[in-house]
Amino acid sequence: MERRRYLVAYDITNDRRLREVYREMLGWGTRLQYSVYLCDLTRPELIKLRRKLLELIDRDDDSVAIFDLGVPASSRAVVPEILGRPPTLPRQGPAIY
Amino acid sequence: MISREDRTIPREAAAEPGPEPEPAPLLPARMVNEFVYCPRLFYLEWVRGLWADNDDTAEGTDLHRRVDTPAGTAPEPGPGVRQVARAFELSSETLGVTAKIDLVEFLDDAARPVDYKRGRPAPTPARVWEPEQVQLAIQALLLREAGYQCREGVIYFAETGERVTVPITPELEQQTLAAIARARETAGQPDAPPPLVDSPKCPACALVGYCMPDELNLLLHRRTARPRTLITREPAARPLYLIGYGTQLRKDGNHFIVAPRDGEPTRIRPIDISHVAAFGTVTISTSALHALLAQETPIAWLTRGGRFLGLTSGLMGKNIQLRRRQFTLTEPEALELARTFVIAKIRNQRTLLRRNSRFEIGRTLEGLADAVARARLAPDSDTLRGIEGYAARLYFNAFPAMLRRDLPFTPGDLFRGRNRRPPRDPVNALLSFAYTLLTKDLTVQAQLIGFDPYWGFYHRPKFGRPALALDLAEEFRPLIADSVVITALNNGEITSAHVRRIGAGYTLTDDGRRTFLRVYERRLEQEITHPRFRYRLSYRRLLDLQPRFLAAVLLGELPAYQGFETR
Ligand code: SF4
Repeated sequence: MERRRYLVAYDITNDRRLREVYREMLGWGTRLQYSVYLCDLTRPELIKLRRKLLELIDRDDDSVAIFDLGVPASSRAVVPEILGRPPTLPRQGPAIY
Repeated sequence: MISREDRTIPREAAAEPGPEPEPAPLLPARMVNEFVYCPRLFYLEWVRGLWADNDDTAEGTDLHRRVDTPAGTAPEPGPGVRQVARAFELSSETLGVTAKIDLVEFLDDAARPVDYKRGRPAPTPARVWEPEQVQLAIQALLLREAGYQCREGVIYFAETGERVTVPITPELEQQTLAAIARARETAGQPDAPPPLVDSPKCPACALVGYCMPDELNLLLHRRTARPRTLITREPAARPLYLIGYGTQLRKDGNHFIVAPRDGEPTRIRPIDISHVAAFGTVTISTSALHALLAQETPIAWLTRGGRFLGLTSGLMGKNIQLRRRQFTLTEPEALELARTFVIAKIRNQRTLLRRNSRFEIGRTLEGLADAVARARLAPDSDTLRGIEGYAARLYFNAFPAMLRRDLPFTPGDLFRGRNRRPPRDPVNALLSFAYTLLTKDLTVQAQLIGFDPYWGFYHRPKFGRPALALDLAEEFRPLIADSVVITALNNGEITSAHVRRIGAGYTLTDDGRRTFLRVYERRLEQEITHPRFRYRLSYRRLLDLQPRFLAAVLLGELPAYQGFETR
């Protein structure tokens, strides 16, 4: 299943929930900036992430925004222009250590 | 992708005391729904125990989590009651079915099941597809058997928020009883129903990757057009190789950390790991091990030098029929398979030589063609082994013809014919390592599909030797392993600095292994056009496809195995 790249940004009003969401996000994406992540996900993976986040946040006070940036390797993918410190982008391919 | 978390485990029939025969397990209404959608899908899920997430099922599970929490109590049947119950379970021995009803509305004089569906109503007059109607009718029949009146059911479509009422007519009832009976009968058959031909249902089917409807139908001549692109050509996850001495893999929260002995720790997402290959003295923490097993990610263990030791994986799949067939194959059937493996290998060796040789090797090519002809007639597997050995000698004698003359290795020391344990020259060290990687990949794959990787048809079982994976590896040795060795050397990616001499043998340095792994993995990513299906796919996908075809052959879905050969 093909993965698309999503930009996930959140605004959490409570410290405990903020920590929980932060820890959750580490399993799904690469941190771009505080509370902003890039996640390469298949659709079922996106649905699971969404479900996890909904369980963690307080729907009245917190919010999460998810932007679809397209297929990473394709020409139509949205590439953010970053000024300053270069971002870490999600890696693809085998991991050899 | 298989997700154990979301798998619905078929309910076991309650154990009956006494000598009565055990009743067949009750069919969940959801399974009858699958049967009406596609009998093969039903069989793969219910009998073979396969399950996979796709968009539909993931979203469906998401939706059902909200309605699956039992709540409310059912009132005594009778007039005047108005109440609802969620996740309401009913079973019937008489009907042989069971159902968990999302919601039951108890009216004054009747009960009304409500089923939650994602998506929108069907663009047909009934506004509901037949499988959903049948599922609802089963729920209605169960409610009736429990003593309620039930004249209609409702499907609630989450996407549009619409409620569609489905009257439970005598016709629908008949249709439903017939579907239950046919589903039972199908479940009792030894073979799965054949795939649907050209069905628009397949693209949306969660099991399309296992079923391979268009590929099987093409090979069975039930379809002539080339297969649609139904199966993703590329799995999203990749292997994680742990090579460095003392490298640690541990779990932190819901992600993994790889910590080399000296170097920065790196975060790894669980969803990125297809399997772990652990070389030598690496440490995998218990919590990491648990997490890997829980997400059904196997771990291949190898010595630092690259000898394959074994595989750690979760519980074996429910695909018992396949393993049973694997062990009960007759001698002639096993010989036929062995013949196919050997012929495909020799032909691929020949193609590789023909394409890459820098000298005139006509005699060798002739000899290999001759070996193929003799292999076709080999009366037993010992003869076949003899022919294979002869072909291998011819092939490896000509092997240096595929290498650049000016490689920066001591000439004469580079390759002295095929030898192993220990490899006595750099080329043999690379070949051995490449074969290990290939065997590792095919062991993982065979195990995932539900084979016992240790029982083969050509290679004899020996302690700790994945004989089936070695069988499957034959056709890929020239295509993947040998070709990677040639590329790595000719491109200058592997140099004399990557090879070390230890005693009588040669071995790769850690850096050499890493470099070689990158070339190997690059090869797996490479796409080729499938000669029969005429679509493009990667070698990685091919390593998944061929074992699946072998499984289809064992399960009687395909008449004969065909080795993969490039032109
Ligand atoms: S892919 Fe098609 S034929 Fe195969 S199980 Fe699914 S719906 Fe049935």
